[in-house]
Amino acid sequence: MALLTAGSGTRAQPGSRNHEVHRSRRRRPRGDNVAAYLFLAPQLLGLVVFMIGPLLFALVLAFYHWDGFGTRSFAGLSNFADVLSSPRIRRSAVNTLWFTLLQVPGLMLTGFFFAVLMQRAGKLTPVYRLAFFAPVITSSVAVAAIWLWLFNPDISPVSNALRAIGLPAPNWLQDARFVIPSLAVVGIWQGLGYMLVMFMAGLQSINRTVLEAAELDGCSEWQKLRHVTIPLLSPTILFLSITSIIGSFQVFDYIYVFFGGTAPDSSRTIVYEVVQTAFSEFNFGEASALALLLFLALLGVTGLQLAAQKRWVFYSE
Amino acid sequence: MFSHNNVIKGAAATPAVDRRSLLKAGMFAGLALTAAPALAACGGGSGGGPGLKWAGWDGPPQSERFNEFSDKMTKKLGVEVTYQQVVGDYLSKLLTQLSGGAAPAAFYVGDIYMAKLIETKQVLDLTDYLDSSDAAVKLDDFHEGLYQWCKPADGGSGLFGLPVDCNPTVFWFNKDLLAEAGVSTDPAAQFDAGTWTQDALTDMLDKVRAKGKKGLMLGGGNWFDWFGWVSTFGGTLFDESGAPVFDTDPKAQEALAWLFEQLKSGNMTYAGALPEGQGAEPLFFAEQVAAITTGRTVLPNLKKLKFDYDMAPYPSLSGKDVMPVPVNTAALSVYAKTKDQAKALEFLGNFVSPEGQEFRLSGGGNAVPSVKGLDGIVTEDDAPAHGSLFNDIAAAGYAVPPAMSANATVLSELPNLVDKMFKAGNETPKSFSGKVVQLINSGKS
Repeated sequence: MALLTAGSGTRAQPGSRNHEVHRSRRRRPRGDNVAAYLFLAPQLLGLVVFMIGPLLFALVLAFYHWDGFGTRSFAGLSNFADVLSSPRIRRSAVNTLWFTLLQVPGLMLTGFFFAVLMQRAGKLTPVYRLAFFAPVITSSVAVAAIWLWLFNPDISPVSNALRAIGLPAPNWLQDARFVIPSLAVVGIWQGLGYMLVMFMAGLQSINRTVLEAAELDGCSEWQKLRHVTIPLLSPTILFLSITSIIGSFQVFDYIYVFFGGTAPDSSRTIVYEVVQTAFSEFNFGEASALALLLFLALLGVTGLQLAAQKRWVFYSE
Repeated sequence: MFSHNNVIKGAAATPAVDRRSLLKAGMFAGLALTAAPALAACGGGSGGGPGLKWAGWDGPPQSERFNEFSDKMTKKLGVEVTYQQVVGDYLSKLLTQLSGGAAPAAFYVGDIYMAKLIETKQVLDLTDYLDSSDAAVKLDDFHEGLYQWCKPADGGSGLFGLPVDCNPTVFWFNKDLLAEAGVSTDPAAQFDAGTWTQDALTDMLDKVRAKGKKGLMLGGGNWFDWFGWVSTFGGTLFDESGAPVFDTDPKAQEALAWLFEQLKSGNMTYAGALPEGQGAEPLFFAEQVAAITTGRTVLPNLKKLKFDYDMAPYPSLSGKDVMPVPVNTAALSVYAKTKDQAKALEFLGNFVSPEGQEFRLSGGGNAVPSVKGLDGIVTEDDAPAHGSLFNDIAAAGYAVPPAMSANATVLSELPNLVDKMFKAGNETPKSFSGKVVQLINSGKS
C-alpha cells in the first residue's frame, strides 16, 4: 500500500524501485494472459476441433455436392433449391412447427404448475423432485420401450382405459393426426423434470417480502401469482422458452427410436431429415443446406424472442 | 470440516509453487494434449492401430461370442484381433472412420450402403481370395441368393462382401390360438401334407378373424415385409436383367390383389412403420395375433413364452414347395486401405466359413447360417419343431434385390411410400406396383 501511494502521481525513474514496480505491473498481465491461454488451450482446441471446425465444414458443404467419400463439386445454391422445393421436407418443417407449438407450451405450463404445487409439498419436496426428474436422466432407449408399449393400440393400458370408458383409442404412432401430439406427450413427460427444477429455483429466488407486501395490500392468491410471481419469474420464463424452442426444433431422438430409419412422413422432423439425407441417402450437401436453414430459422426465432423481452421481462436486483 | 480458514492454512502449509514452474507444467500439459490426437493418428493408421480390428453393430450377448471368436483368431493369425462394438449409430461412425482413412480392417456392411462403398472403392474385391487354394471359404459354400447385392451395382465384376449369416422370413404361428379358432391342421402340418396353399391360408385367417383375433400382421413397408407375398405365389419381382417387372407380371398382380383383399377384409393387419421387432412381434408375443412373418430373431423370446408355437414356409400355389422369399442378411467386407490385407482376408474367410458360423451361431443364437450344410444349428433343442426348414428357406430365398440396393435413396424412400399406400388403402395392385416400380427405376418418387 505504501509503495502504491509513494509511486502514484510521480514519473518512475529508470533504475529506481518505482520503475521496477511499474515494469512488473506491465509485464504481469501479459504473463498471466499466456498462462491463462495455456490452461485454456485444451478446451479451446476441443472447441475448434469438435465445434467450430465441423460447423464451418457444414457451412461449406451446404454449397457442394458430396456423398461422404468422393470428390466434392460446387453446387452453388442448388442444394438450398432442392431442399426448399421438396414436399417431404416441407411436410417435415410443418411437423417440426406443430411439435414445437405443442411441446413448448405444454412443458412450460406443466413445469410451472407443478413447481407452484411443489412449493407446498413440505418435506416430500425432494421425493417429488426426484420422481419428476427421473425421466430426464432416463435413456432414450428405455423411454422408447416404455412408450412403444403405451402407444401400442392393442396392448396399451392407455388404449384399454379409453375403450373401457367408451372412447375410441387411436393408433397413436400410425395415425397421421396423432403421431406428433404423441411425440409431444413423450417430450413433455421427459422434459418436465428439468422445467420443474428451473421453475422451482426461480420461485425460490423471489423475495418473500414482496409477496408479503402484496398480501398486506389485500391481494388474492391469483393476483399475487399474476402480478408478482409471474413478472418476477419472467427471466426464467424467457430462458426456458428460448431453450425449449431450440430443443423442440431439434427433436430427433424420439422419432429415431420409435420408427428407426423408416419414419412415415407424418412423423418426420427437420433434424430427422438432416440425418436421413446425410446418412441414408449419402447427400451431405443437401443435409448441410437443410441444417443451415434450420440454424438460420432458430437464429431468427431466438432474435425475435430477445427483441420482445424488453416488453415483458422484468429483471429485479 | 470445510472452512476458509482450513483452506488458507492448507495453502500455507504446502510448498510454494513458483510461477515459472507452474507455467512450464502448464505448457507441457498443453503440448501433450495438443499432440495427443496427432500422435494417435500417426500411430494408428488404417485399421486403427496395431493388430486387427473389426467392427459390427451387435452388442451383448452376441458380442461376447464375437470376443471369443476374436481370441480364437488371435491365436490363429498371430496378431491381436479385436472386436469394436459400435454403440449407437453404426453407419455414421463407419462413414466417419472411412472418411478419415481409419476404418477397421473388416466391418459389417448393411444393404443400404454396400453399393456406395463399392462405388467409392472403400471395400476390397474378394474374388482373388475366394479363388485361392488356401481360402477358408469358397463361394460355392454360400446360398446363391444371399450375396448378389455384394456385387457392383453397374454389373461390373467382383464381389465385395460375404453374408455373415442370415434370417429368412418364415411364417410363425401360435398353435394354441389357431386351435381355439378351430383350425384343425396347422400350417406346418399342412406343409408336410402338401396342402399349404393360398386358399388354406385364407381359410385359416377367416377362422381367426371370426373369433375376434387378428390373423396375420404385415410388418411394415420395407421390401422384406411384403415382397414375399408376391414371390411365394409365383409372381416375378425382377427379370433376369434385374429390372422390376411386378407391375406387369400377371402372377405378381394376382398375388398383390390377394394381399390387398386380405388387408381389406381384416384377415391381415398392417402393423405400420415401426422399428424392427416393435411392430407385429409384441402383439404375437402377447397372443393378440395368430401369425407373423419374420426371421429366427424371435425364437429366444418365444422360448420364454407359454403358448405353443411353430413355423412353416410361406404358403405356395402348389402347397408343398419352399418358394423364394426375402432373407435379411449383412455382409462382412475388408477395408480397401487396411495395412495387412492378407490377414484381414483370412479373418473374413474364417468368420464367414462354415466353421466360423457354427462357432458363432450354435448354442442359442437367433440367426440362420448363410452357408450350406449346417443343419444342427437351426434344429437345436427341437425349437421350433420344423426348424430344419430354415435352411431350405434360406437356400431358396433372396437378399435385397440389386436393383434396389444400387440406390440408397430407393431403400430409404420405399418404406415411406409403401407405408402411405397401405395406410390409405385405396390403391389397386396396378397403381401400387406402378408407383413402387417408378421409385425403383427413377431413384426418387
